[in-house]
Amino acid sequence: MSKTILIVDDSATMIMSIKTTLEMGGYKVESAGDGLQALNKLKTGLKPDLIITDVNMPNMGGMEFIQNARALPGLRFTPILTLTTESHASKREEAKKLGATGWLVKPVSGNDLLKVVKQVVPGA
Amino acid sequence: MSPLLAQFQAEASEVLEGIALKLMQLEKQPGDPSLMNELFRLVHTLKGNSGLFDFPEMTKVLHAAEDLMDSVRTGATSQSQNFTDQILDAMDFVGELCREIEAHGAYAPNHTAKSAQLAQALRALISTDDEADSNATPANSEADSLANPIPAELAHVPRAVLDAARLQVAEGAPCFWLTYKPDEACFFQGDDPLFRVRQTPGHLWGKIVPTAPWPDLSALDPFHCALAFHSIALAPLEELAEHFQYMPDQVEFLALSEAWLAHPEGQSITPQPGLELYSTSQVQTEGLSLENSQYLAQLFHSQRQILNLAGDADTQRKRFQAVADVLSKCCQSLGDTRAQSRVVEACDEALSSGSAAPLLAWLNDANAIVVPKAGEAPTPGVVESSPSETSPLKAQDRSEEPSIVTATTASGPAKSLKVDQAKIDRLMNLIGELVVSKNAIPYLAQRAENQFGVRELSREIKTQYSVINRIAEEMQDAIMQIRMLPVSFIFQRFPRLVRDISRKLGKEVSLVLVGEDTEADKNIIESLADPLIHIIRNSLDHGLETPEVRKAQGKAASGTLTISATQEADRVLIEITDDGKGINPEVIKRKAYEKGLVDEEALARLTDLDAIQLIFAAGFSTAETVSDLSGRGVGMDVVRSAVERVNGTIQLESEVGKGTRLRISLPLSMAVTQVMIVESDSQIFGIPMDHVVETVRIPRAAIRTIKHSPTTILRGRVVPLKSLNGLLQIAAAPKANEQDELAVLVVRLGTGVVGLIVDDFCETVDVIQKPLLGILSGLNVYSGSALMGDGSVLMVLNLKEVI
Repeated sequence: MSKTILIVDDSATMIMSIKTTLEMGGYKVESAGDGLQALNKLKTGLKPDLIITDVNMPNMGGMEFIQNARALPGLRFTPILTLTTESHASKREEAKKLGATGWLVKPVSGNDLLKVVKQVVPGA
Repeated sequence: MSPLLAQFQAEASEVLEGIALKLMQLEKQPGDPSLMNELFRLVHTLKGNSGLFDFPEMTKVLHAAEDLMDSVRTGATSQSQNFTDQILDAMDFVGELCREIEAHGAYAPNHTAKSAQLAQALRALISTDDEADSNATPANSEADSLANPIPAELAHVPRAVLDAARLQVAEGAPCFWLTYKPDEACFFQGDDPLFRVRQTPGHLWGKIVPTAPWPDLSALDPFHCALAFHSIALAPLEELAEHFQYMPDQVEFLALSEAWLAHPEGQSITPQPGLELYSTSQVQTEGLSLENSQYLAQLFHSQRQILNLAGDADTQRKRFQAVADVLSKCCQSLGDTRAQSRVVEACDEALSSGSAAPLLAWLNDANAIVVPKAGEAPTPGVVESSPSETSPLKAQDRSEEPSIVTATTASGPAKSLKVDQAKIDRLMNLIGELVVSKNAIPYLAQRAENQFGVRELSREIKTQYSVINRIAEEMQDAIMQIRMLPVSFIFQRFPRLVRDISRKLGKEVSLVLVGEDTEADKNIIESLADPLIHIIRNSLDHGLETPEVRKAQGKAASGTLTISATQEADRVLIEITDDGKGINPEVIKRKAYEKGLVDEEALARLTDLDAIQLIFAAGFSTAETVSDLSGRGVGMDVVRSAVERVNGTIQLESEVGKGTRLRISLPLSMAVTQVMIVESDSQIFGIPMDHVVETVRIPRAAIRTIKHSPTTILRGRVVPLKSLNGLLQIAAAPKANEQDELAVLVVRLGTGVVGLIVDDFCETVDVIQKPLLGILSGLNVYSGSALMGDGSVLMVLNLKEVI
């Protein structure tokens, strides 16, 4: 079984870029355009092994999304990485407090991305 | 261009327009936090995307813009007019680069200076000193860790592991002692500490210990991480720090020196509670019984190194004992009792003399005897063996991957889909053909009945036709819907346009946009963009006055320009209203006369309303001086022809001192035209339904002659009558029916109506008008031709030219 990764980003370019890398790494990729869409996907049966989410998004941002996702049954232990260009430590701490596992700093190179994903996806 | 770059292009232009729009809104509502956040998000997205490519200049400017916006967003910097200008400049620059990328796949290398200058200008606006990225190195520095005491747990590490590590250290490899105490709630952050430790680069050995004594089983919380991990890893500090980058506060690194690894206490190993990861013990016990001379050689080699280490006498003695212990056990497991006894002898000698020589001598001997081939064994087997534990699993995973990649399904249903316009145009053409060819079926039914006398079949064909007709119409509607765009598509450019122009002219203008969500066909919307921009320029340049003039006239200093869109039946109505000085008919008349557009006689007859319509005449420009904004030699006639090209009409109303209003009426779609077929002198003609008001039959007696032309009165309104035959210079007179009534088609022309006398009315049909080509294109009276269901050609009249 290949692992499923959910990417949440409002930029189709970013999704396309990450998706291509991950699919080359053998992962199955799902995507959502904002936190709300992602949450709906998770509520309707999607069980990703990892979630990578942007922070700044319309409708529902990354922080709110992480908080809501962690409250869903079956997602308490799913690794969630935030994807952001903000290098401020305070944002990371905030995300960690809400339940994020780690972060990726944009733009993330294909190798780095796969490396970090391997670190956090159990059994990958 | 790669698909990713194309995607970037498409998104970038969307985002740039969004940024311009938000900036305009933000100027109206300064400091609105939600707008500011939205704006920040857009710039942030664009910057993130640009980072995917090698566009350093673009990224640089966007980064500066992002920082500035962040600073304004958090209130550290105030939002000024300058702020908007700078951001707009920066976005224009980015847009320019995007266009170059679109054209050439990359932009020219000469933008570095401009980008640096823009970035600097943006950063100059950030008032407070921006805090440096607090991207502190998560791990202690090596110097710090050396000061730490030797970890007590080191004593419990299997000797073989220590030896292996020591060998590596001796060869200059980095070696670290790791203490990882995961956060108690780490499971709820998606962490898998065991997994992470096992993935540690260069992981050699590890142990898991409870952080506190285990509580009673009933009180145990399984979701509470109460474990600590100890590991030895042969990897540089940076790699380790990177591996544990998300939990810098939970991990401690300690550089292990060769001396520590030589376990100077010389303790024998006692089993410790706790679970060992990757214990190498199996190599130690079973490796020897197997043919593993390499391992033995390595063991001897390491013992020799231990003996050669410097240290005080006490340490040395302990080392001798430890080495002797190891060697004696080696001999034991090899079953060589003679050698074992010599080890004990050598050890006693060494202890009494305080020199390592006897043991070293034994080692040299043993080396020669036990291991005939000098086992340099540079790579210790133990190191390799540990990661291999997981490798079968990995290999299995890998082998499955290729098939999975291909089976990867696309992500769930997307909200919107981007399709090449050509594809939709093709669909549009096809549906057009379908609509036309379905019209052949009723003819078929008619023939079945009239020619072959099968009434039954005719009826069935007609029933079938109605089904096909319904489906085709729905399909046409659906395809039309795809092409529908909200007028906001072009309206959203206006705020920027108005802002730029009004600032240049020193006028104050507030722009009001109404009904931006009104939809119309993409082609129509697009054809509207240029005329509207021209109209707006005219309004700002000639219509609206400067604040001083306005105040002097008792108006508000700021002029208002309203652009509204509404849908009326199957037409879209766009109104551009300003409260400027209006158009003075006298000035227009004089100008028109000067330019020779009208003669004196006509001038006298012109009403004010007619006079101002003269601005639509070709070659008319009222501007006293030609500015670079509007008067560029082309005038409103260009606007009118652009509107008429898509079957639209334009009307102008103006009141001196009060303002001007332009009304543009456009069809919702232009692909399929509904025409009414009329008969005259046994020929059929098509008349666009857009013009048809009604069809009436008028008794010949009700036609009167007023001012030499036939007229009738329809519901109290005078309708001039014209014979189509006469207009087309057909000699035959209009035919009347048995009751001596004439068929009159009332059509709308401009603001008035005209009655067209024809012989008979037929049905209305949907046709695709094709423009006349070649020699026929000179025939202005026809707007085009269309193919009928029975294969005949229908000429569609261009009423404006005919009447």
